[in-house]
Amino acid sequence: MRRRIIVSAVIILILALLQMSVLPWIPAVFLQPNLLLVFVVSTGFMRGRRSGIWMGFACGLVLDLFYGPGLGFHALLLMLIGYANGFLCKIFFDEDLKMPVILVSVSELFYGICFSIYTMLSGGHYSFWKYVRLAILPELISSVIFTFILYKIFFMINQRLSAYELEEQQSPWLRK
Amino acid sequence: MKRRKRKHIKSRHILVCLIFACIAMIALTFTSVLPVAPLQQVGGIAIVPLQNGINHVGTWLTGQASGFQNVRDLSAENQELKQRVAELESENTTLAREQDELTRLRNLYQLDGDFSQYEKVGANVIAKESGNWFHKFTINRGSDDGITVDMNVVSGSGLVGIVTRVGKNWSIVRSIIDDDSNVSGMTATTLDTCIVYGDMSAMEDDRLPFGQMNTENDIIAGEKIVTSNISDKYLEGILIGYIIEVDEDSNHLTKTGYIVPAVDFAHLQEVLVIKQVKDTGGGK
Repeated sequence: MRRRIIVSAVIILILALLQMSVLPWIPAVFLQPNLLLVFVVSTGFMRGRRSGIWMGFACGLVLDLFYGPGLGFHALLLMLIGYANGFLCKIFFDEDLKMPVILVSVSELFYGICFSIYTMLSGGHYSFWKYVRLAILPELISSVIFTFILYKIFFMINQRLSAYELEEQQSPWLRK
Repeated sequence: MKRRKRKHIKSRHILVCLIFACIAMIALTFTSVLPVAPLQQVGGIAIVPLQNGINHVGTWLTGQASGFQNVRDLSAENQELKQRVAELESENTTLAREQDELTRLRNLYQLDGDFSQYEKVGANVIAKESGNWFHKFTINRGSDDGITVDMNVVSGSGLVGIVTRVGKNWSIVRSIIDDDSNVSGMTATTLDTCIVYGDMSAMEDDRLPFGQMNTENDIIAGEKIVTSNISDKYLEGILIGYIIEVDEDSNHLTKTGYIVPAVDFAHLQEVLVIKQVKDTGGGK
């Protein structure tokens, strides 16, 4: 359990840094994936509702700390996304990519729509379709592209961790 | 035993608790009962050094990549450049003459050098906002370097934005192409004021809309727009951009149109922060 928390924290930190510091410098204007969302969706899908909630909450707080309109906004959105994806944990069994791609797309859409509603309410002066075209779609597409790369990695890490945990459970007296 | 008990808490209940926690946090931060700044301060101290490091690596890599490319193209380019040198030398003599004229005209046209008198501090852009939503970015200077909120940020000779949040060694700048940004500007020659709006689609076609220009003067494309004297946050006379399109509104009183910003927002690396906050309280 402790190992899992530490590994997750490291992953979140790396993804946040990638998302905020490295990717914006890649010259394609529209390549702005939401890596933390991909992580939350993958965790929810692979580990279930409970993990989805906590991971969403943690990732959301990290986003809020840096660029959120206020503390708690991203946390709420990502938490709901993690929870919803947790329901589909039952059908998770292997590293097939179809399901995560669909889930990431749907989650991105939900996230984008919520965010554009928020932006419009807080005084944005553009039509909804403009937001869809300029922000939601590009982010969705690049997130899906990154899902292809990241999901495999998350899957492998999850397997490794599960194997450790199984070992620990089977031999509790060997634990230090 | 303890472990088993914990398993009985349903994830639904955790969710509800955390939703309430989030809503409480949103409410508290929006009503500014709970100050966000100290928390962000902590986050900034932890993450800014890492961002700085990544930024260095990135710049180094880009340098290397372009180095390799140069080697390949070098010989071809060399020949081309030799020809160019000959062309430029002749051009240079003409320009030297025009330079004198320019300095003389600059002195007449006082607006231009106006903000060079303020003390400035250079900063590197170390992070941009994730996603396409806002156009805010982080720079690697903060309160340690004397930066405070509302300081103007320029790059080259054009206005970039304004400092909105300051940490110990970082601050966040809202650029003028951000949706939330409205800058009070004026034409450089006729001093007609207008408002330059931030616009998401600026990213797409490199221009910003302006409006509410209440004038009877003929405004033509190519006119300079600088920050106005009546702006409450922006210092006067900083170049914003050049008009490329102007239309009269249906009320025949005001004009709207588009400007091309003087700064290239897609490739922003170094910026200058003007260490002077506009004082609209007394002073003037």
